[in-house]
Amino acid sequence: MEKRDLVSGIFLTLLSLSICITAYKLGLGTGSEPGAGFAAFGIAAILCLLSVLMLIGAFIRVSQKGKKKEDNTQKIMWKKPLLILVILGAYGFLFNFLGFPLSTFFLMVFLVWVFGRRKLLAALIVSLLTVALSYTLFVIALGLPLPMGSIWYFFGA
Amino acid sequence: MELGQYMLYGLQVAFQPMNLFYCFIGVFTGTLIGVLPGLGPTGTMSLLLPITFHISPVGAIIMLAGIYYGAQYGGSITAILANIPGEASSVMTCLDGYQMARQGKAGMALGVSTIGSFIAGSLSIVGLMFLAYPLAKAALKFGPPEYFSLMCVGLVILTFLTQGSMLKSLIMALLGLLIGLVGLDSFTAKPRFTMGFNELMDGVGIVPLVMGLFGISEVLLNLEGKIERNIYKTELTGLFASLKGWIKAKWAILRGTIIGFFAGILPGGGAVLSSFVSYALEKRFSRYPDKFGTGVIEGVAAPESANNAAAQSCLIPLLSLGIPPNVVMAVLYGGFLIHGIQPGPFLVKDHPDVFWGLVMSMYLGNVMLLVLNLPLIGIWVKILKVPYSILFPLILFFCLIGVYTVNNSVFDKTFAR
Repeated sequence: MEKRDLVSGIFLTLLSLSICITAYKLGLGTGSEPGAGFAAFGIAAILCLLSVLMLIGAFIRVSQKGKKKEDNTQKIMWKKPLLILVILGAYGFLFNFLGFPLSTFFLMVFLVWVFGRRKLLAALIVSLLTVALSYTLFVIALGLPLPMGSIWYFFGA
Repeated sequence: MELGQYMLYGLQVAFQPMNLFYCFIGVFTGTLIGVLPGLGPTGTMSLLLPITFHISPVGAIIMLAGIYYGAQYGGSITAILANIPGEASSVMTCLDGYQMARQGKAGMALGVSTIGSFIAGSLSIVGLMFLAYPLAKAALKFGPPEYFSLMCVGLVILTFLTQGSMLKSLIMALLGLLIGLVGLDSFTAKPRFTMGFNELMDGVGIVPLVMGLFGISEVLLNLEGKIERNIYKTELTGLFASLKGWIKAKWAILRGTIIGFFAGILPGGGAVLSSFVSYALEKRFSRYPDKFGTGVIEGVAAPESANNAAAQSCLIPLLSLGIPPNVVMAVLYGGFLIHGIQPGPFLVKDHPDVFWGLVMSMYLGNVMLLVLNLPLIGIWVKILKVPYSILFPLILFFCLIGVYTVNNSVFDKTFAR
């Protein structure tokens, strides 16, 4: 926990400092005529102060703890969520190109089959059903303009 | 018009077939997501925000509000039968509810929780009606200094009430303020922290933000660990409990309602806080505090009544002052804005159909929930068995599509992620 606070403290201090600098460049103005960076500078300065406090607190706790091993149960299993974030990023990236039905189908197959650890057939059925039902709801019933994909131009469609 | 006339007008609006339909959809969806752990009302409401574009403002708000108070009913089913809080506000119900199920009293626990929720919800709406209207009238005299003070008080109370480190909650409040500053400066028209993205000129959209913070993050958090659902197999009989049970539960329900009502109005309060406070107080004033956690009926009645009372009373600051006291209300606030309605003191005057229609629809919603949660309890138990491996891809997909459809922007979708 303390190590996480240490990392968060460093990150937040750096973030608030960079916001302070950007806000200063935007112009602080005066009390009666505040510039675009006035409020942001003030808030970021207080944030920086609090982050430093958190950092110091975490640093003291870490040094007091010494070389005691950290509890394994508190470890974050970050690989799975990180991979899913990458996949969701790819989905967003390919959404306009592959189109809503195709990209959604691939996303669902991947998530259900690989991460959900279901059989491929089950993943295919769930994905097909999701695409069919969401197409009916969003495109046909609600008339939302979801992209059908520019990939089809290459096939002469 | 007098209060009675407004109430009749509200009933007229709420009883319109389409509004009745949206109310049902709202409470049904609310119960569904309440039953399913891993998807909360905040995520669901933000997910459905884009869909409400095609609905009348009254219908949209009735539906969105229904999701929130409906989720409070559904959360107790999972808590009692599976020992998993379907909603954060049902954490305390797990303690005694699951123990009651293990003793073969699952039906009684579910019955007390549902009927207690109904009583608390209905009383809270009466309180809402009598408090929101005069408060909105008084708030007409408010100017910028009063609103600024109110917001400051809200932020202070929010950081004070947050569980855990106060330093961290202060840091998060400041980060939230900084996120709110992204976009064009209203005085100098200079772009601020937009990093060259035109999409950020209008500021950070509430839907991508909420979807990322509460929809996608909830799934990712669940995937870090393993969700095990061991549904306790028991006969669901005795839903209406015995007279002795009701005598024991009645004061707990009443106390839970009062605590929930006032905790719901507090900034940063709401269903979660109220259920914790009411359970703690019930235990403190009980003649047998040591028995709490072993299957005491008051341990189910108090938190369940409190979270339902709070789910309705937290609408008071939003409807009368235009200040959302918690994140779910912030999403509902977004729902109002999407339809061009500004919640606050002028709501009653400018859109009486929305205000009174919503209030009166909540009575009807509570009756619908009573029917959905008592005779139809078996359906929810079956839904509880849907594996999370199927559920989480669907949640992620609906979150992303929901975000995309607000502005048809892949940028928003990436931001939410």
